[in-house]
Amino acid sequence: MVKSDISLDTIRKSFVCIMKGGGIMRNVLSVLLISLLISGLVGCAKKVARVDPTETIDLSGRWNDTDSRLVSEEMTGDCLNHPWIALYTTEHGATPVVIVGGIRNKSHEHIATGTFIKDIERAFINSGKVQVVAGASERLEVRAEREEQQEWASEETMKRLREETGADYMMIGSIDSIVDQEGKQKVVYYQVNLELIDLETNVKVWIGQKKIKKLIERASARW
Amino acid sequence: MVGTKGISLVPLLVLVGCAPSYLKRSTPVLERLSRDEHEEALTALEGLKNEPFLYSVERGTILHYAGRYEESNEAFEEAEQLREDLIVPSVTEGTVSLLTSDIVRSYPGEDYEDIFINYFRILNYLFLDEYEEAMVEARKVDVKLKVLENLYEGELSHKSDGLIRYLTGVLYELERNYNDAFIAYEKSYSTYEEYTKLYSLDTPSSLASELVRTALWANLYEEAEYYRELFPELEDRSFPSGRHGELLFIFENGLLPHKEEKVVETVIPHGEDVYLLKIAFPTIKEKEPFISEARLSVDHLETESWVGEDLQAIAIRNLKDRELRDIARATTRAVLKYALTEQSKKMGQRLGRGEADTISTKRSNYLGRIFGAIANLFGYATEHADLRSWRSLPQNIQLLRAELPPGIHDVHVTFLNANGKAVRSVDYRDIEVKEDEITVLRYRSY
Repeated sequence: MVKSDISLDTIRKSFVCIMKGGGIMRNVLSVLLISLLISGLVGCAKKVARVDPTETIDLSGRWNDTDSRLVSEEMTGDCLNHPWIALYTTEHGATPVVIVGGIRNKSHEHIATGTFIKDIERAFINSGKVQVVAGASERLEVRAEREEQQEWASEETMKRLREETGADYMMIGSIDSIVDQEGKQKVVYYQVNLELIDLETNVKVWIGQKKIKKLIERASARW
Repeated sequence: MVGTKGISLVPLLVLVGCAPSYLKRSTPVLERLSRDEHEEALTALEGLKNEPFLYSVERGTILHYAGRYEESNEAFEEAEQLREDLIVPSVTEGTVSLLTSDIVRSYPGEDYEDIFINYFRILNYLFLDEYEEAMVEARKVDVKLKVLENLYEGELSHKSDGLIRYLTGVLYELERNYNDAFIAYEKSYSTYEEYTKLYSLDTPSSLASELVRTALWANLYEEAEYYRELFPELEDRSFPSGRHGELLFIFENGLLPHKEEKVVETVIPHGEDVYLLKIAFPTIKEKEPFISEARLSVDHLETESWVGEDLQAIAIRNLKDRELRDIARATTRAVLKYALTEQSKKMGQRLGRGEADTISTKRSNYLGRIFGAIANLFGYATEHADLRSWRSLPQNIQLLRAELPPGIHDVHVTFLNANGKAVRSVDYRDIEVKEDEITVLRYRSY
């Protein structure tokens, strides 16, 4: 134990003053004791409810599945309604092939960009307007399988090497965030940028942007 | 997340009265960790489960040193979420703590402890080669620091973190994003200037070359010129031409001294009795680190480490910053405990009062004194300072950077004490340094 260097005398003197005061202390004490009793009575029970996967549930205020879904749906919707598809189809007589490249997470949260990329790919494929080829990591796995086939598969079913479809466009993007916090309130602002780039010419054919703003309020007290 | 609703008064009071202190309970964990017995440390840690935040950070630290980086990140993630929940003041705990001790309040971590969660997570992701995730951690620190700045309106000393800013610069360099690296180093530089005032810590010499180099690589010629003029002693080593890689050595030095109890005790005469007054609050005593610097030699090149973060000074300063608030709380508690004593005295007197004869007056008086004494003793016995802290944090963190030709190197590090005597050494064999990349090595001493 360390003996204090704070003037003992000051504390003693002020304390003696309080001791002479009396009175209001009784009321303060009763309030404290009552609130203690109440807090002991409040119990808790576990509740489970099934919800629709599309229902928006915000718990912590962090980036969640709803954000990922909303952003991908809206942005791919916008992308598919732009004239670049029609232009490509009239020029080449085929649907364009897209590869979804990296979506860089530049935010302050760990975001599973994988699910986001999947959401985009799904929206693209299901629209029937564009074709999507496998991304960098998936490609390696498929190639390994194809190479295996060269040795082990029957000639009729063996898939040929060097017959991959090259993508015409690449989609890249980033998720940025800005956080502003003061006291119990926090505003989180996400901006998702996506760009579609012509793989041969580097021409950007489409740029999409989606913003999400959340206000998170913290409780001021708990039991 | 945290079930505080079911709290009942009795166990809380028992906890304050008789439970062994946090210091005692956490010591076995530290002993095992310092012998690098990670499994055993994790087993010993189970005894700290009733301190959720500290359990999680200590677990994260042990797993980190055990090389289980993913699990370590999970533990730290839990700690961060716990802090978010626990930092909201609890009515129950607040009330009980006013009659007993601050120990009954949940511990959400000190501000600097919260920031060091991200330090370890940055290293976790760095060692996992996940730079993008490491950057997320660096940005999280940025958010936390901004909050601290607003929260205490300049009252707080630790508003920026030189070391984390510096590491952020390193991360950007790894991404070859020299513009952002320069900005991070610049922020780090201004923080170290602040550190010089607060903790008399020197601005790291190597930061000067980091600033000039990244400014040049980011084509910020004016800024480069500015810092070159600011540090005329800068050698030309910071403007390398040709192939080179870098080695960053992080040395986590010693154990942060734990909090100790500071006590004001006095006996005040009160009527025919005395009143025992005790006020306790936490303090940290400065301790000279066993090792004062690290010297690294590789390929005939010798460099010395510099202190990137003096955690001991930060922890001491942190307590000092809120000392007044601590004392005010302790004093309020003392007043309430006194009120409780007076109240008990009256209750005893009422109990003893029968018919108005001399015996019952005596009895009433007697019972009152006993009740008062019991309440006073209860107040006295429960008065403890809150000595909880993240104990496995290092006393200081030192850094060292060396520029090396790409290839395989043998690295030798010697650790010197304050008298310049070599007290320990460590060898790293076959360390690969790649062109334009930074290889990170880390050593922890206890």
